[in-house]
Amino acid sequence: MEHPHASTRLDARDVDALIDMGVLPPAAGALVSAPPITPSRLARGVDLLLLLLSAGTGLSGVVFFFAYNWADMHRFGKLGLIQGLLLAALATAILARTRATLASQIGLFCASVFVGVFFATFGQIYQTGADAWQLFVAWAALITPWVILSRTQSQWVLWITLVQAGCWLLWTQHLHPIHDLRPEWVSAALTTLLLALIAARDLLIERRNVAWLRPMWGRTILVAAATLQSVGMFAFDAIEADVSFTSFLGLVFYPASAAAISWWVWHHDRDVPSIAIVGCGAIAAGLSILLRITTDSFDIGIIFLVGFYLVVAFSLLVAGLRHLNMLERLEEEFPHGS
Amino acid sequence: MGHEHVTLDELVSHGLIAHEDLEGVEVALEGVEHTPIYMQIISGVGGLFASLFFISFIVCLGMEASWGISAAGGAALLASALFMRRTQFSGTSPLAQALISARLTGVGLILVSLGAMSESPSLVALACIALCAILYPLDPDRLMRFIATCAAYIAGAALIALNVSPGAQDVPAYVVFAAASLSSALVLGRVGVSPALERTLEPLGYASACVALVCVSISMFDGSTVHPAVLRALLVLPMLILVARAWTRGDAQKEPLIWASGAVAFLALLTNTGLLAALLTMLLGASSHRRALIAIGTASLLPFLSHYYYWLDVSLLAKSVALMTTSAFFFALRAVIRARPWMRSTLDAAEAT
Repeated sequence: MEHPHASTRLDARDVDALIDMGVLPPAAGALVSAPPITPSRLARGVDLLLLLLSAGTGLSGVVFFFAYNWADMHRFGKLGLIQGLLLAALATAILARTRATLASQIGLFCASVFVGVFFATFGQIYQTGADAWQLFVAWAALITPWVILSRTQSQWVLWITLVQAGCWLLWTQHLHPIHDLRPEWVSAALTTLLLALIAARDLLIERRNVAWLRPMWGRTILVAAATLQSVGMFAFDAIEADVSFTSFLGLVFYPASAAAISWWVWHHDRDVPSIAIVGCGAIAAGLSILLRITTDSFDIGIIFLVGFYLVVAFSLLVAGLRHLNMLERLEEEFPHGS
Repeated sequence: MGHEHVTLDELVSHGLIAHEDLEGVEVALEGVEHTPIYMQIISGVGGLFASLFFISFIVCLGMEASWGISAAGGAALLASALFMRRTQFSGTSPLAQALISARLTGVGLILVSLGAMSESPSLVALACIALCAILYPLDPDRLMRFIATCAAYIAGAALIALNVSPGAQDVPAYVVFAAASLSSALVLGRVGVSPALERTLEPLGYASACVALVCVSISMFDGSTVHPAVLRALLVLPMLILVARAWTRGDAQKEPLIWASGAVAFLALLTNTGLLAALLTMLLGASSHRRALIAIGTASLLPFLSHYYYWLDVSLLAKSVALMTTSAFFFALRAVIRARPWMRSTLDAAEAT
């Protein structure tokens, strides 16, 4: 009589895992191979690669061209050429929007980059004396309507990068030297913006079913940026140990934002990679506390202590992530506790 | 041999499990966890940093009089951690992370002690290569196999730098690059590698691809004694392997590969070796449908592009023209490929779904 499970199919990863667990002998690995590359997958992969490479090298070529500051070219020619390219990119975005979404998105992305190239060339020609932060802020402000209309995550990533760069340059060139503003305020403001964007993204998916926001990489970038920013400030304040309200803000903001992100991403999507990023941030924060405690009385034993801390912290993190991964998988297989 | 799936019945018929054990396999299958790549990266980074601190601690303790004991301790630590990993704990156990640190610390201790006792860096490099070669098949963790491969390449480069080409630091980079790029193309491009062996060697393939990119960046430093054309010629080798492999396949699969390889060869003439290496990595990823490889190539594009920007031998105008010509070439190539009947039908089928 045939066993009820005899027809259960295992793929290469299942077999590898069962060999690792000692359930199957290593010889079982020879019976199964990784999925073959189908002609259609290969064709689509090469097609996408060529499109991205074409856009990437073309865009870089334009940036290199204007960085060259071609003296023989009249300033109107330079600016006119950039505007021509900008219009061409926009035309591509509009004309290709109905049947080739990716080409349209790449066109609009190129147009957004050309706005920055235009500003840089304008500043190069006329030597306006403007600070660098103004370029980034104006660039971000001007492309905002396109970003909103684009319905593309890559446009949003560009916009956020410009806003972040503009704000930090504003602090470096203006707010810190003139108003003596502490970096904690900039960090807190930008992290709050990132948290708001994460929340807005998830609510738009949940309530309006916005499909273009669904790919997770956009949120992963937001979580990584928020974590990096808040952990950096936490480590700075933990090691500096300056007793002030702003230092307190820096120290409190990271744990609060980390807890908020973890709760939110788990509650909404069971997003384990985002929790992994927050966890790595927590290990870095813990390390900064350990360094602060041991700075005044350095001893060889501290090196061992740090090693021990890293083993324990990473073991807990990886074990926790595995547990969450398992929970996520179980919820997928048995929704609503069925 | 080597199908995409295998049934439990087939495992029984091959005598790999007993019929009465099927229930147990089914239960174990429910508990199977596939470790995502980001968790492996976190695990590896944690293990490496922790072991570096442990080794530093032991070195700082001052073991001058007892390096032999230290080496023996390292060997015992390595052997016991490996034994425990193979027999007691699976890769998903909470203790697996500690065992990674223990194994790395053990290897580090053996090498540091050997270096202190012999005062011969070449011997340490040789020992490192030998240890990596022994541990690769013994260690069940893909992550450890990746680290072992990287360590073996580094040791190989050190060995060449110390004995073959003292004073010319880029020569080891070229040699290691040639070996690494060839290995990655053979393993990840599935050339002459059986499916079972391919899965065993996959970490070696990924590590080789990463090492090849690092070697290219080293060889691009100022003061290189070898002409860039040599490196570009070396870069063409894995490409030839890809094309050769394509000839053994059906028309629909070989054509995009050959076109894309031609495009990369064209780029080799125009831009710098770093960009070429990054593109080749992406091409290898696209042709073998390995997203991680495409991601590695894409991530390395930015530093190589920055290097190209600040490369003073060629004016920005010339570089700009090279990049824009390449862009036009890629665009035209894509248009030609898309007009081919097999591509048209593939894209139509994709749009229909």
